Amino acid sequence: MDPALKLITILIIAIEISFTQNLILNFIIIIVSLLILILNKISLKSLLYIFLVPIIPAIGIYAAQLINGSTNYGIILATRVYAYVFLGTTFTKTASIKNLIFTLEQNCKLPAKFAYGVLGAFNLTETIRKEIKQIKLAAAMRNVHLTFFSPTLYFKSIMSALNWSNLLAEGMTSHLFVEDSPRTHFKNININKLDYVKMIIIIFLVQIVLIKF
Amino acid sequence: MATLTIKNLKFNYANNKMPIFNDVNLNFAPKTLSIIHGPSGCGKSTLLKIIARLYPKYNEGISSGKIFLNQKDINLINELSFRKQIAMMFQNPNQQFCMQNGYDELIFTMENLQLPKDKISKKINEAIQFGNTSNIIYHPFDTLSGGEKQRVALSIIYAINPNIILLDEPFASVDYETRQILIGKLNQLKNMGKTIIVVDHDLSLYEKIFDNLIIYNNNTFKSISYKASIRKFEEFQISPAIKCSIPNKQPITLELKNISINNGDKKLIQNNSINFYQGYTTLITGKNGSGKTSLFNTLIKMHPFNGEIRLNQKNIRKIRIAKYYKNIGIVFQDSNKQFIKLTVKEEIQLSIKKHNYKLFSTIEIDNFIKNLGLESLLDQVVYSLSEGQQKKLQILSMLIMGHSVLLLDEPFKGVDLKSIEVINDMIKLAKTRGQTQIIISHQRYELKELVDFHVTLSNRKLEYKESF
Repeated sequence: MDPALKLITILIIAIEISFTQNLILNFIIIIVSLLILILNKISLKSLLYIFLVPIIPAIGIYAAQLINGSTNYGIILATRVYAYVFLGTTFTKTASIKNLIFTLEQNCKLPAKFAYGVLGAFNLTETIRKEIKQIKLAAAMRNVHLTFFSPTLYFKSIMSALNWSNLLAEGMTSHLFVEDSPRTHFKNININKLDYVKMIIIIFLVQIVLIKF
Repeated sequence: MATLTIKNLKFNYANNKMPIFNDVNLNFAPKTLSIIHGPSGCGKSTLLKIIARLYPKYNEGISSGKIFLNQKDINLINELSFRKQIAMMFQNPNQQFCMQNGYDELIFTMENLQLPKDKISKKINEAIQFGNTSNIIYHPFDTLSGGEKQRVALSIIYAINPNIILLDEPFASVDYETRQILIGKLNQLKNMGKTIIVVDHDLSLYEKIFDNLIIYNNNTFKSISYKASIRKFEEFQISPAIKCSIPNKQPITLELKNISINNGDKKLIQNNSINFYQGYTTLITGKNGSGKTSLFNTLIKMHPFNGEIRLNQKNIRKIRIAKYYKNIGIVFQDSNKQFIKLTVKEEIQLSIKKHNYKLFSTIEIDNFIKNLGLESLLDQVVYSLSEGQQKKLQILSMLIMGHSVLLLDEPFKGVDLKSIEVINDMIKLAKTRGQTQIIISHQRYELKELVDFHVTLSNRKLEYKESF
């Protein structure tokens, strides 16, 4: 399925479960997402990760409802947290960010500067991770031991990220990227008609579950 | 074919009234190759970036004067058609790439050039062939060596096919053989009618193909006569192989036993043993991508390896990291990565305060600062320094730390001859006070007095040689 359509479908489902209270739908979303993830050969480690990390907010919300609200509502909210996490994971595991950018630029008419900006932002997380490691190493070589709580670490990484963003813009310009100028596309991404059909069916099924249960 | 004319160009940084250069009047004709040469920080890269219209847009500076492309003021030319005519290769290739690998970067550039799909494939193939990059073009940039990235950057410039080509230290990290090949390619481009302007600290191998040597003097850039140029080139003659001895019974500091190192699937070093000796300087050479930097990363415990490494007879796997880094230090290839403070002064003071062993007296340090030309830059932010100035600050800061073993990865990249001499003096002084040094360098001149032993890395083996 086309990444942009997939993103829209997931957003619609997420908005719907935000405004309805349907335990069965939440469970169906979790189970279907889980099946898709298993079919896509998700590693056991990532699977454990997405099960364990949401436990804190889920239990928090549930406990709050237990004290001040209703238990039923608590369960719905807790499963909703999991439904969000699973939907999100399904998207990131099955869609490539590069294809999403290409389809957003070509099919959704997103200006190229935004498309490549998003791509840059995605690469930035990786850059910052490496940067923090590098700063720690450079500091250790100078007998300065930075920990997770050292402000220097964050100050330096923000400094270098700012520096980096300016350099990125300059680098793109040097490779002929000109804002608002037309570009050609080496890889044409056309949305398959079947993808629209799939999207409509999925959203339709969600409505049925909502009405029936 | 295009002619570039510079008239009365002057540039100064916003916070500094003194221009870094003024009264620049130069002319670049088609089918010529001009070299711009001068000390680090004199504004060579800035000049190129002004010609490429990247400055003052991307820095805080003020320029006055005019630049003409075929008699037309460059500021009046539409952005894209300007970029199609003048392309620049940056000094630091990391700062020029925005995609993950060379292939994607080529596609990105060709799309910006608005080429249709079928022409893009053809262009890409030609560019890969020109830069001889077929085996590295699909590899992510962060797995490529400095020299490999420079070759990819050059391929992209070729694909853009501009009339005017600006190159900023294009061969600083390539090995001698590749340098020979690439300078041959520049000649090929020149004969195709291109106007080529190169900034380089290293003038070796240019003497047969250059047309014009431009030197920085008295705050300006001026062409010098053919005779004077030839004299300048002579300073860079590579002396025939320099003899050095093979170590024998010296005390060992670092002992590598049956080590193997890989980079992804690529085997870099295979089951090899070698020793490094205390109080000596060892030079490591090898082709681009042969694994020199990976070897350094292994020695600082930042790259996985098989086998055993011992520092002063102790297995390094058993030494705690904080303690280990008190003994072994590294000067990174990318200067930016070394700094942890904001200004030049803070950076030097940190080293003085936190040193492991007092190698230099305060007077000696002050002298180094002066001789390196860092005195007037003490309050500047480290990011605003030129690459050469950063390199000098970086080496000074790491030498002051007084590690017992210091690894230096391309310490002369982007540094002018005079400063190389100062750096050599510093390194030598540290050595006489007991420091063990291992250097990776492609630059071969001025190494004679510094290097005691020479190790080559080729065919996945490290081996001592009798000359370099």
